Amino acid sequence: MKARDNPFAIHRLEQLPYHLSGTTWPALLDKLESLNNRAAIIGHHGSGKTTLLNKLKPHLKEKGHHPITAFTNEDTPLTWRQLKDTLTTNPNSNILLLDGACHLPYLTWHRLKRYTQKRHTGLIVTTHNPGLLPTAYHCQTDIPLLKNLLNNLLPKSELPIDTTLTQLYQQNNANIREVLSDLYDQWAIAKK
Amino acid sequence: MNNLSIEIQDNQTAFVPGETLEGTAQWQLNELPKSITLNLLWYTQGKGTEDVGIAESIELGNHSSTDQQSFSITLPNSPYSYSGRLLSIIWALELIINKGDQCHRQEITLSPTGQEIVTN
Amino acid sequence: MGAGFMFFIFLGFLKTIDTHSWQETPCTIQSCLIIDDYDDESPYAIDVLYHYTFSGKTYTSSTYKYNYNGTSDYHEVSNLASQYLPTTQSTCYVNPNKPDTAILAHESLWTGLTILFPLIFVIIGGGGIYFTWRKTDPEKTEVKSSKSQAGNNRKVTLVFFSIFALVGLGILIPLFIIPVKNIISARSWQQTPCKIISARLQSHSSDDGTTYSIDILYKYQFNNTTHRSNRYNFSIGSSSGTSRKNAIINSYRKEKNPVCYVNPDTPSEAVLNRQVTWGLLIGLLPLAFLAVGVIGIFYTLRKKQPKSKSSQAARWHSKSLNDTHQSQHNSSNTFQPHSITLKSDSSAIKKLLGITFFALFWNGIVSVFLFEVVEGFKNGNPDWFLTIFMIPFVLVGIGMIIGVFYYILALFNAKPQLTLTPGHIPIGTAGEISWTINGRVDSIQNLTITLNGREEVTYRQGTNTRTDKRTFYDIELFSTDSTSDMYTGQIGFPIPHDTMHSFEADNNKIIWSIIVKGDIKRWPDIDSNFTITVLPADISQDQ
Repeated sequence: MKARDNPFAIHRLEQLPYHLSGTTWPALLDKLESLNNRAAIIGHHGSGKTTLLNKLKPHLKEKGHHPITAFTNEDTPLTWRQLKDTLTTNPNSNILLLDGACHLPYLTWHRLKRYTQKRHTGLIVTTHNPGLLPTAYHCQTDIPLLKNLLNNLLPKSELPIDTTLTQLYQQNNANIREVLSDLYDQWAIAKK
Repeated sequence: MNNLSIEIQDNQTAFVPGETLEGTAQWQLNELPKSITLNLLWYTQGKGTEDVGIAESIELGNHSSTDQQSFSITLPNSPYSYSGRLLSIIWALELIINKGDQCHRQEITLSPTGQEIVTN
Repeated sequence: MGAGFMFFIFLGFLKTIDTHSWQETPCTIQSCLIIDDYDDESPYAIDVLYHYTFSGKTYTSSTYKYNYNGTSDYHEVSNLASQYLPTTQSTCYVNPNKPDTAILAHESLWTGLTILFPLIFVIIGGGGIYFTWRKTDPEKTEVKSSKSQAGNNRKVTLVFFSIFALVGLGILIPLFIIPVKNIISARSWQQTPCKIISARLQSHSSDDGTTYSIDILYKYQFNNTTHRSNRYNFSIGSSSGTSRKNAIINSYRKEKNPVCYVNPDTPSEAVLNRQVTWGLLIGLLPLAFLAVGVIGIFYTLRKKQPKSKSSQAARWHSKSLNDTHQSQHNSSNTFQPHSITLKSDSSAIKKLLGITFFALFWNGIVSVFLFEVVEGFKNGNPDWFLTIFMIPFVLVGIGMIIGVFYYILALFNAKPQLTLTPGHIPIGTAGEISWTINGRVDSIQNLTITLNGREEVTYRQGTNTRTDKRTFYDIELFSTDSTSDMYTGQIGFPIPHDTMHSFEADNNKIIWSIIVKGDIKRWPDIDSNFTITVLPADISQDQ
């Protein structure tokens, strides 16, 4: 199977609609507004935090905001200088969407928090655990969510059976991103 | 209602490196555009994070809301259009209004045979 | 068990706290004597008698401190004796509920910190019980992978390394820093003749076994005052091993004109041996803990330098791909060198340095505990719990040492040198590699050279960035068991016309390489990877 045709290729995953649990987009945006757009999206690995942050950007734009994005993890660390440059080179931006805030060094995080607070810039971050900022949304995964995603990616006839799905889900410790990565490999080999 | 289209001469979509690609970009917009750009680009799809490379970028000068403009591009040598198990490389022409407000994309293939290189 | 120990320590500490509420009362010292045979463990103590008046009645007490057990430091009791001279006035603390009970000095409240030791075991045990028995919903499990535990929660990491640093510093100060400071200041102490009163081997019993220290009591005259001391040198603590200590004790027993060194500022302070001793080096061991703690805190807090080549912090896929960061792509070169010498992708030196660092770090820490285990066996009093506990750590340490030797041996492997002609090979044409293998070629049993093409893609997996690889082309170009054919040779090979050229973008790559493998019996194998450039087909030739 060609990489571009694989139903689990990244570009297809990015086009999946985001399923909010227990809230709606207007309610989530209102909650962010009530927190002055300074909040955290929390959840374990592969629970959809990055995806939610991506989907949030156009919604914030529709509300008249000018969000900019930044990403950091262990292999792509951000320095304070880089973060500051991101903010100063985008003077019109009023919200920073930071993916992976929990990977920032302690001092860098606190500098960023103070800096954005002083300039009344919003700061919406993704992190694994609560504590950095008030929690706006808690990403969680379950097997019905996984089934829902697969319904969008595969024709009905090709959906894995429930026991296979449950096994995959548990083997990957509820990490949906890893489940989808495994399914990519399985499809690539099976559909040669 | 906005309409964008790219028409390639002879409806050709398979090309060899170094070949000249000729065509016409057409647009029908509700408002006057600030910029209209035609990009020749490649991008990747598959398991890895997407990469993009813009081989050529043409600013289409006439900024009226409804118009068409022909173009001629000499295609580069590489990369070839390719599909393996983890990675696909795809060539496309992209017509962009106002730096991203709207866009239309037309895929082409680029390789010595005109067909996508496939490895399994 | 932890809870039990905590309970008893707490009960004792309550009593200590209680004495701090006793009423301060003037008293008169009747007598104060130094006992020098108080206890096997702590031979020196003061025997003090004093009387006081409380609520109109006169009482007599001989209690210095609640739970007073004497000391092994003669200087300490000497100071006390000079503090509580007969007929002088002092202050005592009377139990208001039982006025016949009184003490001269309070026990330190710092002893309450000993409750923290069993508390650690209570937390570990209680936490283990909680996490073992708590119910979890398999469908909505909030899971922390080992990667997130490693990568997240800087606070825990900071606390962990801070404890390391504090423990290291806390032990380093009394074991090394203070003794060294004393040795340096003792250089100005005055040499003074002294007389040996007693010399013995002092034993100290604990759960780990019995240790010993030198206890030599001597007296000397300084400024017309007679003083006594039992300080032999500035090292603190005791250790196993008796032969060297007994030799020292015997020498002082026989010594006709022993000398000591007296602090002219505080003549009650003296020492027999003011030299640096080997035992002081043991005091450097906590430096490893301090170093680990400080380095760990530093790397947790420091600003990190970026590894990414991207100059922008933001990379998002957009609808039009227009505002996305444009990847750099290298796959065609106008300049084609006639031939190039290929460089191996991996470095044996780097691997060796890496494993050596980890082996030193790991075995450095393990050796501290291993020393205790060995000493226990030498003394005929082995600590079996510690011995069994240390087995897996020692095995890992041995494995690392073997790894170091493995990579040292790999350094002496025969090294292939490859030349590729042309330097870059267009698709549909042929190339040629010529090789020379320097070193112990006769040890190679089988040599193979393979042409390999693979895809490499990189993507984010939360905390980390992962790279997946897939080989799409793998053809053996050359294989031989004959040593004479291995030294040098050349072979041509075609690049198929219907394959993909080399391609490199930020996250996606097509890589071609020549892989040289050599099987060596009872020695690390040769496994060298040489990246080559396969160009797009030469269109000028086709036209």
